[in-house]
Amino acid sequence: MVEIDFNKENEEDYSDPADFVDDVTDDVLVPDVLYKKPTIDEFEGNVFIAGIPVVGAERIARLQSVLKKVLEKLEPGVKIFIPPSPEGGSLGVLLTEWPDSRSAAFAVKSLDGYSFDKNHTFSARFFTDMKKLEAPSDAWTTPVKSEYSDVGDLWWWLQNERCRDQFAISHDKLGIPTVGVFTNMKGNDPELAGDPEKAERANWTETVFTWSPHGSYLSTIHKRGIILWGGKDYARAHRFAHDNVQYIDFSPCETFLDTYLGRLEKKVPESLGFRTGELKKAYSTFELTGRTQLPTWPFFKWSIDEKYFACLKAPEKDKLEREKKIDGISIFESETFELVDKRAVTIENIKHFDWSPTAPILAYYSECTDAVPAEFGLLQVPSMQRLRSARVHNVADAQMFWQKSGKRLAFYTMRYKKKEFRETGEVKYVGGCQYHVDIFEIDKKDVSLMNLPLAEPFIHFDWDPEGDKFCVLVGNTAKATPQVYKIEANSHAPKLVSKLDAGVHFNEVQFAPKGGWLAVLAKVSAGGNVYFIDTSLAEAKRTNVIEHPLFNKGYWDPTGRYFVTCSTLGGRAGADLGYRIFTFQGRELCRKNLDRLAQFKWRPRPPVKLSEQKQNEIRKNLKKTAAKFVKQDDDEKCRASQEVVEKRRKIMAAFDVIRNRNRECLENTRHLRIALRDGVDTEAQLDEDEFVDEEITIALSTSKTAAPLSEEDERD
Amino acid sequence: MRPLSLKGHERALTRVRFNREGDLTFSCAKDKKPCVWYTENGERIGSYDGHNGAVWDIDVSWDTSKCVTASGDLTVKIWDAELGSCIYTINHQTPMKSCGFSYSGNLVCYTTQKMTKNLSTVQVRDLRDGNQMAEGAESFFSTQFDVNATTALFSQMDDIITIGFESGLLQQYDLRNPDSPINTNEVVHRYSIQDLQLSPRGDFLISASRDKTAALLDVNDLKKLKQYKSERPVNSACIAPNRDHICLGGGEDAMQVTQTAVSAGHFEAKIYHMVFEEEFARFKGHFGPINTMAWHPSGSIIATGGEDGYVRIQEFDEDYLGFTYDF
Repeated sequence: MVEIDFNKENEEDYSDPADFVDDVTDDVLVPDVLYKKPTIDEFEGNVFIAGIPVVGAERIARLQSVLKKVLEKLEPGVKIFIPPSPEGGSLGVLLTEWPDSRSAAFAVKSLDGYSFDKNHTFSARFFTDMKKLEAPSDAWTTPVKSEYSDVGDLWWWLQNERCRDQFAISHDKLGIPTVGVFTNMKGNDPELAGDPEKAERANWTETVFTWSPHGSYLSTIHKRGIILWGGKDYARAHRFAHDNVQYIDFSPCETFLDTYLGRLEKKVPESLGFRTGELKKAYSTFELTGRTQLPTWPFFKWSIDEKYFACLKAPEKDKLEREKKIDGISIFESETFELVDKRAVTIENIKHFDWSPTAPILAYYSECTDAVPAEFGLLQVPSMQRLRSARVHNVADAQMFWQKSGKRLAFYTMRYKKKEFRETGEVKYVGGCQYHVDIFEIDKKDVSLMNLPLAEPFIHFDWDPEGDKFCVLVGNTAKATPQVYKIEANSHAPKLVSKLDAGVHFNEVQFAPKGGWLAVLAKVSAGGNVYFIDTSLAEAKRTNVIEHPLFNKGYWDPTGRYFVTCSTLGGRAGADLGYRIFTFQGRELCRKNLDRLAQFKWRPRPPVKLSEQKQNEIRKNLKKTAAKFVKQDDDEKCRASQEVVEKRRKIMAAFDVIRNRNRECLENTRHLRIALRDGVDTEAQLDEDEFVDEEITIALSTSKTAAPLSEEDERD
Repeated sequence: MRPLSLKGHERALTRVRFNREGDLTFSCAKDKKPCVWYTENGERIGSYDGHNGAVWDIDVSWDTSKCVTASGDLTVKIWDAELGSCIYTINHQTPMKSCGFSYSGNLVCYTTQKMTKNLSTVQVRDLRDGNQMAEGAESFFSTQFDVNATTALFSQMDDIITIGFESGLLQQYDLRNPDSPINTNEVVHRYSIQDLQLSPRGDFLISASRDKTAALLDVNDLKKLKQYKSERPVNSACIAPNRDHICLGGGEDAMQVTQTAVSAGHFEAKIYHMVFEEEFARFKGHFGPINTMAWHPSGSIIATGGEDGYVRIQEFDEDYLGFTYDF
């Protein structure tokens, strides 16, 4: 009892005082689910339409009857009201009331963008949406034209006399995150590209940097937005204010920039007209996909001509309000930022799609279900014509690979025999799987299809960007074999050119950007091997194997002359971070270890704009020009070594000063040391003559072996 | 020439040293028996038996008459190098991590570990003074530290000792003044000093640190002259007697060795140009980190001792001996 009393005495009242008002709003507490909050809408059947003809009082009755005729086609029960102007005419807007929200929604969808006549196009909005529109603030003024910032020649780096390529890295220099742009010096240490003050900057970006697709700009991400740097001095060329930007992506010709905001924000990817800096359109990923998370980045995939961009469509809900699978692609036109033909393309169970690297053609892969086989198809935009499709049953896994020339598309499929569902919900494939690579040839009549069954599990695939060859990596981690195939003009199946030696842990093949050479990579493995393979000859030949333990990234430079392996943050723990540059044949040129190396990116090159004729001419004269380059290389080497020698001499001279001082010091105390060792001068030059050469022979082990018969004995 | 791989220790090596002439190799390991070998053929002459714990350091006097060993069994022992008998035993409350003779061989310095209430100390005793060598006697030079002194050596004759600490600090004391150091360098290394060695002529010091570097220091003022960067913690470094080269060794932490591929462990010994700080050669051999190394007085042999329990006596090939830098 005593105890209870004691408790009572100390009991505190935790309830809020009567006049307490909770000042924490739902925005703070549950921002992520707030969009689901139900709202009461008394205007749900009301639709506001703008863009109707402005007419005088005398023609209002006729307008009314025409409008009524149009709208009643959609729903006979519609009521319309034309707000009159003071003179009794129309204001150009129309208020409508529909029997229910469903027909209102239908009306909005069909009337928005409806062309009433040649000069009038409707724009329809829900009345409730109208309420959300805000009046421009009183302080609003016309934006001031921003000064055109001339950063100089954006392509200065392409004019390097020795055609050297640049790359940028981000790493910790003296403990500070630093981004630096370097020129690859072929064999010598890379040099900062341009003014050392300007080409390397501490804290240049807050997260990552990227090159624009043609290499004209270096973009950095900051808390307040994005900055693009260009020109010789890496001056600020463009700036886009965009708080908390997370991801950015360029369109292929550097006209648009897509950006993405934080996780909880709903209004998300935005295309910024990049030359002008104007915000073109903001989309909400939630509206587009029906998910709160960003499914992938880049979210929008751009067609190569920048006319279209596409993303997977939001799944519609079926009658039971269950979400269905994604069943289409939303393709937008970059001219208007509207859907092409005002609707998404329906492709059931679509899993993945990719634009052709040369034409506005989409390749898509839709997953198979128990009833429907998987489909791989080619869709031409904007005609939406399906050029060709292939159906495959029992596909467990698939990937698509476009050839860079846009001529061919390969897709790999893993086909199972039988599927079993485990109690845990896992799927198990019984009876082994088969692996196939199928190839669409776009430029052939009716798009032909080839099939190549693989004897071993598929690991990776890559096309020779321009030629007729491709490489498939098959096997498993313990034994992976790169196989090079060739597509011959009149053959129905690819021909195996050569099967190279198997290696361990290989997981990627990469053709050089200009073709011919191939690197096979064993990323994130203890051995860290890379095979360099020459496929330009009749038979593919391995030229070299290199080792870079635990490297996790490998890139060809844009010209295909160099290959870099790097080990960056995010690879296996304990790896030595740094990069190594090799020639295309696998000869190591340079090796750098860097603290906390985060990124290594070659500066991309814009597409070659020279005429075919000129290119052929250059090819023809290659031998002659090559001799010139070799000479330049040799001269440079000579000069460089002279510079090095000069530098070394200076260092040595400086060191010798200290050394001589210390030796003199020691010489002065020599008598003291002799005294310490009982008068024995242990520093005296030993007199070689006093030594006697002594030879000791020690038999470590002996064994008997029969002497082999000599050739003469054998003849006898 | 094939390197000699000496298997006489049962546990990880802690120190290899040559005598002044280089005909004998002394080694000690975490087992209880320091050994002495013929450098020429790797034959073991004998061992110094008497310790009852890991032996952390061994040094030999200039005339190869005496050896000193520091051990985890709380003793430092002075041995007759030839007979293998223990002459003196110095006791302390905590393990001793390093020891060394002075130039004359008359003084012995050693470092003691910090443990519970005992601070880390560096002490020097005079072998000629019977009072100091008697049981329970005090050292004539003793100084205490809050951080562990990992290694100490006589750097100038019998006068000055250089001490390396676990914090990366380096200090020099004059024996006549145990109260304050004459030189201090706290900037060159960020982590524990693993090894300090004197150049054969006595004009430079080289320090090896867990911060993945070795540094060349001026013996007179401890100033950093050069620094050599490695990819892994450096456990030992030594200076060539007749060339401007240094060699360093180390490797992935012993604790993480089992999780690392041999090629990624960097268990090679690496040779750098002493003045240009460039690595130009390396040699493989150990399958664990290198704990200790010593350059033979002739300059053409290096002995290394590894965590793997082997001592390797490596003779340089023609490629190395004929290698010169252009300048």
